[in-house]
Amino acid sequence: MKEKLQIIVMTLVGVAVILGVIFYALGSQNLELSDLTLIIIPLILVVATLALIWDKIKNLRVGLPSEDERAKKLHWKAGAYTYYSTIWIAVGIMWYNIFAENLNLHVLTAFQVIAAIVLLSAICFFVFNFYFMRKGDI
Amino acid sequence: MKLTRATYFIIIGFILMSVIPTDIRGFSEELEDQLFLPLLILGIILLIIGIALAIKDKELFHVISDERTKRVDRSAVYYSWWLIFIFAYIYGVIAHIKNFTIFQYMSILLTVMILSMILFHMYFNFKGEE
Repeated sequence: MKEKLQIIVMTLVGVAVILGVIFYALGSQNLELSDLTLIIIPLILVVATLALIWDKIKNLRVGLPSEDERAKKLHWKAGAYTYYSTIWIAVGIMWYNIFAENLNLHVLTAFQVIAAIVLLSAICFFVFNFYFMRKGDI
Repeated sequence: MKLTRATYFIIIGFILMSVIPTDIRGFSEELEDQLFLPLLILGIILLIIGIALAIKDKELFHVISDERTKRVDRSAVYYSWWLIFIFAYIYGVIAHIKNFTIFQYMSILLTVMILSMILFHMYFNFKGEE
């Protein structure tokens, strides 16, 4: 019951995000690059979440629990690695901006920094999750 | 530094003394001047409590870590990352609308990252059934 509820909540959140993106896109008069990023990031995340939901549904259909002890441990491990990666991504972006100012390179705007942190963090999680799932032993 | 009953106080004390004033300074220097002393005093009190607890628990120099503490560490970091992920996006949209600087965005984000991790760790540690 708890697992079904989890899947329903995740699906509802995904649908809500898609609807939000559609309304945002319809409300914008002229879509600029920054607006497009605000649309693309949630869409990538929703697609990745849908892949996870699909995996859970497949398990439930054959009568298995949607997430076993091993999968939980793998998620925790991937999440922990992503957390540390996110810290280094954030620090790295700050360093880059400091060097870029001095070396006359392209300085990232606040919006680009936000997009980079959210997107890279999500990518890190999916990469680590995939790697640990493939590796198997924890 | 391993997170234990004693180090919670020490880390939160350090955050109150050094990180929070810097975050506040990013938004208002006047407010930072007003809050600096109360935060410093509160930080020192927490630091003293933490050191006293560490001495009492005999964990001043060495902390024993077992399978349970490892699980608590990982689960706390995992849930903290999810919270930060959602927070970074929502706060990012607000920062974009309000035209925050990179420093204002990053300082708050990193502070919330550390604080949420400690709070989740405290929750799972005191919950006990991990």
